[in-house]
Amino acid sequence: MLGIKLLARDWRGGDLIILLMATALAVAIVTGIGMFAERLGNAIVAQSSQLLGADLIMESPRPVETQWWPQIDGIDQSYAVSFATMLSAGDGFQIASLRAVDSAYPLRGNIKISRQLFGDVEETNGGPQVGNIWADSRVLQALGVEVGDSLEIGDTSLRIDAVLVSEPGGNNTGFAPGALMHKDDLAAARVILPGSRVRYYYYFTGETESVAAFQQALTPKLLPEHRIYGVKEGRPRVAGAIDKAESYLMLGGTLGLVLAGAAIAIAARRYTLEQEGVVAVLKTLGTSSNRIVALYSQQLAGIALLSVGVGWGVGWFLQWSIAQVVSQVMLVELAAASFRPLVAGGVTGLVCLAAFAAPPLLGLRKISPVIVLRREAGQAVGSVINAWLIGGTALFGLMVWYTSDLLLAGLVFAGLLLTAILVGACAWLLLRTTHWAGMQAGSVWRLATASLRRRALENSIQVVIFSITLMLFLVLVILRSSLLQDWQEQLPEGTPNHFLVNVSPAQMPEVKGWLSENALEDEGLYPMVRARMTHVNGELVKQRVSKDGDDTASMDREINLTWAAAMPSDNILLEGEWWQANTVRDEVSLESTLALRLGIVLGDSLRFQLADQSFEAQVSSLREVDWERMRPNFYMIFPAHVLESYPATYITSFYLPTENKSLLVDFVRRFPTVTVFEVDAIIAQVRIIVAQVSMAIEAVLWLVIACGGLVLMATIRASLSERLRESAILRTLGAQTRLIMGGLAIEFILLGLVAGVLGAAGAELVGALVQIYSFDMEYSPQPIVWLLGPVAGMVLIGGLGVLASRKVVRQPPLLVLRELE
Amino acid sequence: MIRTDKVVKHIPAGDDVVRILNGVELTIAESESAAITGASGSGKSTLLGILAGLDTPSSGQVWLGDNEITCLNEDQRAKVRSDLVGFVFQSFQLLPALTALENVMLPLELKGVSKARQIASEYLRRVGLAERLSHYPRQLSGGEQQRVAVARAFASRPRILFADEPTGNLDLKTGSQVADLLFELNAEFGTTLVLVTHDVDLAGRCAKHWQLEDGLLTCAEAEV
Repeated sequence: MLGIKLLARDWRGGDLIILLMATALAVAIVTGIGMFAERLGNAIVAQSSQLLGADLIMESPRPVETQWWPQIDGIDQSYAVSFATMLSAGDGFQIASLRAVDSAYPLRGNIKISRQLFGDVEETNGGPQVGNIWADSRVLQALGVEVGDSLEIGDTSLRIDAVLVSEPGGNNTGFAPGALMHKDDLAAARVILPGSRVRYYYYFTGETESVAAFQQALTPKLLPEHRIYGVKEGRPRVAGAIDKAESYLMLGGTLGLVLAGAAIAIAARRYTLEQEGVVAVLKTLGTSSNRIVALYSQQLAGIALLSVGVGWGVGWFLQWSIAQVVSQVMLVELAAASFRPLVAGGVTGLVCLAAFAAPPLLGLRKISPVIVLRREAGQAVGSVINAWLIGGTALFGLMVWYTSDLLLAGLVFAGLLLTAILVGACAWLLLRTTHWAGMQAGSVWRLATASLRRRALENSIQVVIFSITLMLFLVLVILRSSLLQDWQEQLPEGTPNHFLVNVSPAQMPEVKGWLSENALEDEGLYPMVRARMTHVNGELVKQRVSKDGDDTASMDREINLTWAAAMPSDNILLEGEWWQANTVRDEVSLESTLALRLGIVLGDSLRFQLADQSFEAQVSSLREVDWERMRPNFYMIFPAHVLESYPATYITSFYLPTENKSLLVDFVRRFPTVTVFEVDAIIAQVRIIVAQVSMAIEAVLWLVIACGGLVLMATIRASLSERLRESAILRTLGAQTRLIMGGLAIEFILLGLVAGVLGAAGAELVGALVQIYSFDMEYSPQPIVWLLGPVAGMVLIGGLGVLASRKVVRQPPLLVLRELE
Repeated sequence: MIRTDKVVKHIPAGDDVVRILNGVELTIAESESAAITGASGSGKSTLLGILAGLDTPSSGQVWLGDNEITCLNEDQRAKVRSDLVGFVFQSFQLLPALTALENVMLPLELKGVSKARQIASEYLRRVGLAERLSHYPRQLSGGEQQRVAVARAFASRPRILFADEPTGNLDLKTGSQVADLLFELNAEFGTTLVLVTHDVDLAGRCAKHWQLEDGLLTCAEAEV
């Protein structure tokens, strides 16, 4: 294995180290980010499952027989019965939302309780024992009882064992206040009677694959009355945050990959240039082309082996250290990653070497031995266009494979390409102008700008690489800021965290009065009429939906209708027109996704049934509704005259600070028939998850910045020998250290400035594309990049450049010249 | 050992053609030493490259031993070089990443010689560098580097040695030491020596001496 022997000898030359480092870096980025993303993704899903209490939930109005469930191994099951009933103690009565749970409940997450009213909170992973009840503070306050006292429920009496603070499944869908009891006490209580409104919740957990298999087996058996949901369906906002975070991590990884690819290409090109002389000598010594190919193939194999090994190590260490920090800050245990990221990292390393390093290295076989007599460098390296073409194709392939997202990969790649071309052209022009400017300035500037101009082409290519590196940083910065901003906006401080439902028209003034008495701002009271949509243009809705699939369940039930004179301020009118205040036509405004699902267009006539009455209305507008806002939203809005005559109740939402929570006790006592939905616990937990996701995004940003720094270093190093040679010559001519270092510093700082400005422009472009098309967000310009880009460019490139060229002034010029020979 | 027939080399330069060699004819017998001199840019190195099979002529034929190298491709020429030819260059052409010893070992390793290390050390000792085996080229003076190159050239026992300005980069004293070494080894091993130089004294030490002018060889001085 002479090739390996030569590799080992070349290793001491030091130039191979960059190639190896760059490849190892690519492997490390893919492995590290892959592992970290996987672990974090698992942790976030686990957290979200805790929020939900399970990985998968099925809701049913009737109990389900044990044998009905699909038999899938590795699935744990638990269930709860949810209903509203009257609790009493002494003379006091209080309606409460009860949940009777089995002993396995909750499958995920913990129940928070305290042993006295407003006492210290403790966590427990099981529900109350038989004979006990955990009731929330408002029940206790309303009935004037304490922990240890008894509560009457139906025909039985249960001991209050603890105060219920929160439970994973959330008490959001039932009446407030809430309580938890054991299912075995249900029979004795005899509160569930034929006709009672009861929901049965079935909870499932298991390994991801088992749950998926279970869900798949379950779906075809579902009846219209059943509803199943997992983390994503059950918590769309959380799902959205996770999806975007995943995309971001993948994007970060991809950008890291691009950077590493560039570093490999640069290093391989430089190594190849140095090997030209070696190959020429080998050929004069009688080595055939095939032998050259064999020698360098062995070298490549050696590099591949080493760099994949090193890359795995570094990648593992990277994700381990980030995970350490993250798990400490986030207080979550991150599960170990699978082997998939290792495979992905290894494949990436091999593909990068094959695409970026193999073509120039194997091209060495074409070197003519005659160059030992007449030096004509650059023979083997071949056309730059070709090299970038092969590299680009491979990179795009890797990006698609890595993100499994053709659109995202395509957008980033197209943005990169376009930026490279534009930046190259601009850089060339700019560098030529700086010379003119430099001529007007002092000698240090003249030296620097002359140098920039003389190598305008090489410098342009360098600026392209610098700009793209900076651009990638900036894209990540833009996306990070806009993602965080987006999440922040979704749940700003003061987001309504309580809903009031079932407010009767008679109670309306009083409820309003109560809200303003307590200085609580509501989102407006909306009338609500429950009706069933039966026909579209005379055709039965049932037939209509069954044509296109399984949407029957969602439409074959009562939906909430409302009336309003003006469109809700946060809705967006997509088609048609909103009615005039004095309209007398029977019109309806429809939510756009529902219209799309049912194939309803403007002008269609819809029929609704309400008890034994029915009415018709024509679709006059389509609206986009943001369901994630915590405020009343409706699929259908009518002009007042259409619905006014039907029995209606009112709904509103408002923000209640946690410290004022006890006000609800008073409210429930004054308006026992009004239902209070509490969503504050959910909002708090969603905020925690979003914070975790944000941290992951920060971590990946820093990782990619580190990679970018290495690319900058490799690029600067690659161009260093010529700069060093010139500087050494200048020194032999008697130039002062200050002049030379000043010249080099200005040269690098100018390069950094140009790259920073162009990078910022590119970042705006790619950032906008990715935001709009891949993240499904609105484009929000981030003016900070125009400051950050140039400053980072000047500091990073100037700093690294000066750091790398210190040798010029530290070593005798003759030694520098000889080493460069 | 070496024979040429009407070797012509034209190099296109833009729209023009630079005529470097215009029908060079020469014959060098086995073990003979020959020098080619000429002004800078007269095409000496080009001729050497063609004779050694590093480069191809525009027309004409070249024989090395029994091989007509002008009808061979690069790989076949490489085989001929491997079997017959050694080189010493003006700029030494040592591999910077290899030590003196490894540089001398390289041609032997490429040929698969088993005692490469031993042989290479012996040749380095022979050129007076026994103490410099593990030094890298940049740690050696010009004269020492050229002596390593001479050791490398002789280590694979070539039948023909081509030297391109072997003393061109060296001072007078070191240059003559290297030249002495070349002729000494040439005599010892019976190698055919072809030398390109503009040092007339050095050329004068060769059995044959041609001058290259206007792309043609003329006899400069008969045998000394």
